[in-house]
Amino acid sequence: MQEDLYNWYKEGAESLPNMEPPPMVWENVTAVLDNKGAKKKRFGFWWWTAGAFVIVLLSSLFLRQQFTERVHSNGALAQANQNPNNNESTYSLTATSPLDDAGINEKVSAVVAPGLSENATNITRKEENAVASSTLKHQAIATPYVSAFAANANNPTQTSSANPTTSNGSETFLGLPTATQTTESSENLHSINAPDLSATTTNQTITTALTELPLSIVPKDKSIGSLWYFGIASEFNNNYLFNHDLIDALRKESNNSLLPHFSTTWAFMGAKSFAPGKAIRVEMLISKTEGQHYMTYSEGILQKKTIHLNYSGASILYDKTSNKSMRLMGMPVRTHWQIGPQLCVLGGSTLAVGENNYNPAEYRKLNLSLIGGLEEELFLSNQFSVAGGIRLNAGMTNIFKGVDNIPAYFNRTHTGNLALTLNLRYYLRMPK
Amino acid sequence: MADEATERQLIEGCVREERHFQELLYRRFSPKMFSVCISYAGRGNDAADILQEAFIKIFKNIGEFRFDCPLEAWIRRIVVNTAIDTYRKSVRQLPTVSLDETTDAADDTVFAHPSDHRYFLELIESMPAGYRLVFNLYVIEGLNHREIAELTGISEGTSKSQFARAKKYLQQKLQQELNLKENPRNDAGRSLQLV
Repeated sequence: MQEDLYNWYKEGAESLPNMEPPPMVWENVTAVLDNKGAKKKRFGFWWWTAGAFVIVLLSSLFLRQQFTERVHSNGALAQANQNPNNNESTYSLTATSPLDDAGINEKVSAVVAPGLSENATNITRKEENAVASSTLKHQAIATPYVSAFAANANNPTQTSSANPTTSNGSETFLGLPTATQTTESSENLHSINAPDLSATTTNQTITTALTELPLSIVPKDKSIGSLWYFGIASEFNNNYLFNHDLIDALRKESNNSLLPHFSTTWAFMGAKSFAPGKAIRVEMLISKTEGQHYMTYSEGILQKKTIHLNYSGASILYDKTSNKSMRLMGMPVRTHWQIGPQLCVLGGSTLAVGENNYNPAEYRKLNLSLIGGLEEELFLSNQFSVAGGIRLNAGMTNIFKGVDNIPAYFNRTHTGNLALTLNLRYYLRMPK
Repeated sequence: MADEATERQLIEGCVREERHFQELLYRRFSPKMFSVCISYAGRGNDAADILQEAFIKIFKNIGEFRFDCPLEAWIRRIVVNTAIDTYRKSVRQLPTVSLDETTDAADDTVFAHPSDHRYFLELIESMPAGYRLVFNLYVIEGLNHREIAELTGISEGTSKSQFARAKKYLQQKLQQELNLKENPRNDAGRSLQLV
């Protein structure tokens, strides 16, 4: 019976008489062949992706270059600015740790004038078991900044009068008027008036260890666990729907092609640091669109086809902050690495083919994806910052749910996008 | 003389993109391939779309034909692949009809005598597209489920289940027709000879 059915079907199919196709088919074929010279525009997937990657890479390199130059210039102790006219040397210590409490800018300046006094400064940081010592073997006298620095380092409870900022409790620091910072313990900083180290030399020498000072002087922050920030996040996405249509468009012999699809995403976000340099960030997505544009043959003509999938949802990201200090235009910058899941709920979907619009119902309500990203955060003030970066979002679940007679496997579809991110943050200081 | 061109001459002419040879090739194979398209997509616009897209692909890629199989088999493979692609697209673009709806609609169909092929055509047109695709690939193209799975991107299990449902669907339809034949009072105008 089964074989009968197969044979009957096969014979039926094979015995179908040859049928003349409609004349328009050949006309359309020749029209396409005639236009072959003027080839339809193909926005090759790989060309597009490679272009985006190159732009991101070049931007990153440029920014990295900028930051690196800043870091070098901020390692000023190693690059003592010597002014030959007044025979005066200026040393500047700068260490930035934006996550450390509200004080962003730490600076120690020493204007040293030969012939006024003998002084020697030795700064060490015990936690790292590394000694960054600056032994300035020259005739020098500290300016009020240096005096205050030395005095406070020697006497942790003393408030510096020379510095416009005050030292808080056991914490001592020196800074520019706008940059106030307290450190955890004065034992990290020592200023030693050591006669044996104050030997006079005619040439000022600075040990190479000085270059480590800006980083080694970064204080430990015990308030890190109580740091919150909130803000608005946006993304400019280049979307792709990874499915058979995309694979078909990539095939050389295909008549279909992809067009780039862009969308924006808006979200509210909040984050809480739970350890130095580590935070959990939650983003509530107000609007997010995934989709794809195609040029495809339908009803015998080349038409534009567009799929839009509108989502809302939430992301939970692990946020790791780089402990390297950087500056841009004098403002502290820090690097964030983020990774985590995102769960989105489909609000609606539209499919436009040429002039016709549909509301396809074959997409799943939920879309789980994995996010990985990099952001550079620029502190505009102690509490406000702006951050920009790149982010990859890879859909983990098949969003095509299928219909009664078409299984979901048949049109396995995953979302994916490459995004440029921009967000504004407000840091909230929680009571300890 | 060109009308009697050999297969090799046809191919070489098409590689040179000479319109005359392209038209010859089209005229020679399009009627048969249109039947193939119809067996995969029915007699609607989809069959013409498949044929059109397939011939564009054929003319664009004919330079890659290696003479290692008959030209007709090569063309048929492109047509079938295009039919599969079109099926995938149609799933997204066209309102889908549930199996129940399809069955109801088919109940209203008056099957013609198979000798004029209308019966067969109407039967395959009444089949859900997924069933028809898998059943055609298995029965007509002679592929096994693993090959169907690779070609269509579905799992082997899905291919088997689609095939089983298609078989059941066909049996039900044929049984209905046989019942009508045995009890002509239901519809005296109908008849079926299952050969």
